Amino acid sequence: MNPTLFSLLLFHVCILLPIFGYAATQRVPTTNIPKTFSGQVDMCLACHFEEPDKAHGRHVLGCSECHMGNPLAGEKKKAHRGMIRNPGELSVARGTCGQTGCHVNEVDWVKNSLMATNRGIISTLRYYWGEAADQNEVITVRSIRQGNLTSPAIDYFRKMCGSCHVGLEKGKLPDFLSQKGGGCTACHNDVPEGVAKEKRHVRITKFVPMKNCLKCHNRSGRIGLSYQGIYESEGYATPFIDGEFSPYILEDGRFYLPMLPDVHHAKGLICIDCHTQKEVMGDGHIRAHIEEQVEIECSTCHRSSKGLKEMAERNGLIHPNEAEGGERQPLSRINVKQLENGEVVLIGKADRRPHPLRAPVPDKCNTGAHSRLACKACHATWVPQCYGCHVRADKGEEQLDKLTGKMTPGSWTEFRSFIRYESPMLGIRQMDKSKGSSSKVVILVPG
Amino acid sequence: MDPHTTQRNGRSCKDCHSNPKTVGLGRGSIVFRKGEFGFVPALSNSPLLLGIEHPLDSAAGVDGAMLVNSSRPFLRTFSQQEMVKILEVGLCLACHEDPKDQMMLDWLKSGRKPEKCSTFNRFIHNLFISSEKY
Repeated sequence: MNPTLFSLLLFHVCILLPIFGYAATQRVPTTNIPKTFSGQVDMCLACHFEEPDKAHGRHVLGCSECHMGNPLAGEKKKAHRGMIRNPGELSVARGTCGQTGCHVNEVDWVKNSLMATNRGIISTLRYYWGEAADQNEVITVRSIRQGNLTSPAIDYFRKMCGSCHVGLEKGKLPDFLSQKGGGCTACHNDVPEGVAKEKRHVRITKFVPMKNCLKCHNRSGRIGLSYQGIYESEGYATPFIDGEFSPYILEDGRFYLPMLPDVHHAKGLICIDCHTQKEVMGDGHIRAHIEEQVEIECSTCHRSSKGLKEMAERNGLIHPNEAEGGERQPLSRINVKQLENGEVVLIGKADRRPHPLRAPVPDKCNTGAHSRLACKACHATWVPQCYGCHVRADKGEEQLDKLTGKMTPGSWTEFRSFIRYESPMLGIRQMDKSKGSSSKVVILVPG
Repeated sequence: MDPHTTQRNGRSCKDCHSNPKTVGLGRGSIVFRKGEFGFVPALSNSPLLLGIEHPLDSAAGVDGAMLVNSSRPFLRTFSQQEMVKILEVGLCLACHEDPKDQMMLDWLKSGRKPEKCSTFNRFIHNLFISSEKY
């Protein structure tokens, strides 16, 4: 064979063929074009086999409805241009989860919710520290991040509190803080088990697992810990067991003691069994504090069978104003159901089991002398109580600003004199007289 | 706030009516002398320690004065009158602990304090109600 011809052939076989072959594997074949059930072309499906939950299934929505990018491009680079890794982030959710036809209202609600704005935390902190005239200031995480307001309370918030809001970009902060935030998926996110690697995708769920709530609700009031029967103990690892430090230690290094869990937890109920959609996600109105957003109370479920049947027929809460003949306001649905035998039960969102709802015992609860006691004044049996809380500011050191993810001058350290689990202290909550009751005996918690 | 530690059975009568911690005084002992309640704190109330003239766990004084700030303007500790009303029940619990006791039932229904009994009168001048826990 002619040496020149042989060299040319060798070049074709060894160099050009692999190049074209590689290019061919990167280009999706035009036959059998992947489509969603609605007939929409989504070329992403040719390479990606991840399986989200049913409602957001790969052939229901395709990938680009949520993750953006270019679903018509057959090449990786072009297809991934403009792609969003986590569509749930609040910074992009208006165009992803909140796009027309999807969760339009919910995204707007969440953006104004207390879990996104932290308005109550910030305004109360500034009021405590003498930086605001009252604790109803209209101030949010976003306004702090975008504005140039600086003060000791703002700096403290940035460094000590700023990781607990759903607007935090997931993975932005280091260590265990990297699990916090993520917008919609901060809550609506479950990791499936036993799924092959190529099919693994975050399962978007309306049954928000308790572990997602606990990422934030474990300090300050320590509600998430107490509910499970976990008491954050003093930091000395006591009581020692067999001469060693206590083995009960939380992810962030705090020691704890196992205590009696809340009876609702013991029966298998999770946070969202009680806390309704609008309580958690907001309702579009800008509220200052959690008590303005809460829809439920113990008596919502623990009421007479007649009241429960009304609620089951309505498939939702009855607004107090409506019960008194006032204006009806839409409230969240609650998962109560009347069984064939007539009994009204709560269907657990985690265990999907019926849970009986008991009315208060008349001769103990509804008596004259105890009529103004909140249920929890008697039925909440212990509460962590923190005394002598104080903080130290050190201007000579740097600390992570949780809102920006950057180290900035000035650091804060929190201290307490001691913490105890004890019977709760009681006090008075002055109520709105127009609603009938002038005051209620409630639990006051130091700390 | 709701501590989220709800139990089916509520607290005992004494846990509220004989416990200085529950009414906001802090840990210590309640004394009842010459018809008036007093309080002996378990923790120091010396201002030399922290610069405050009350124990760290006291939220209110026996005179009903609120010693700490609250997180909401509509929350307050018990007034002296309210405190006395609660603790008076505790004076009777030594003998009438059962909530089904007729005297307690009448009290619960009407909210009105019963007439003083002879046992109560024998001890009225020097009754020491020590909190069971501390």
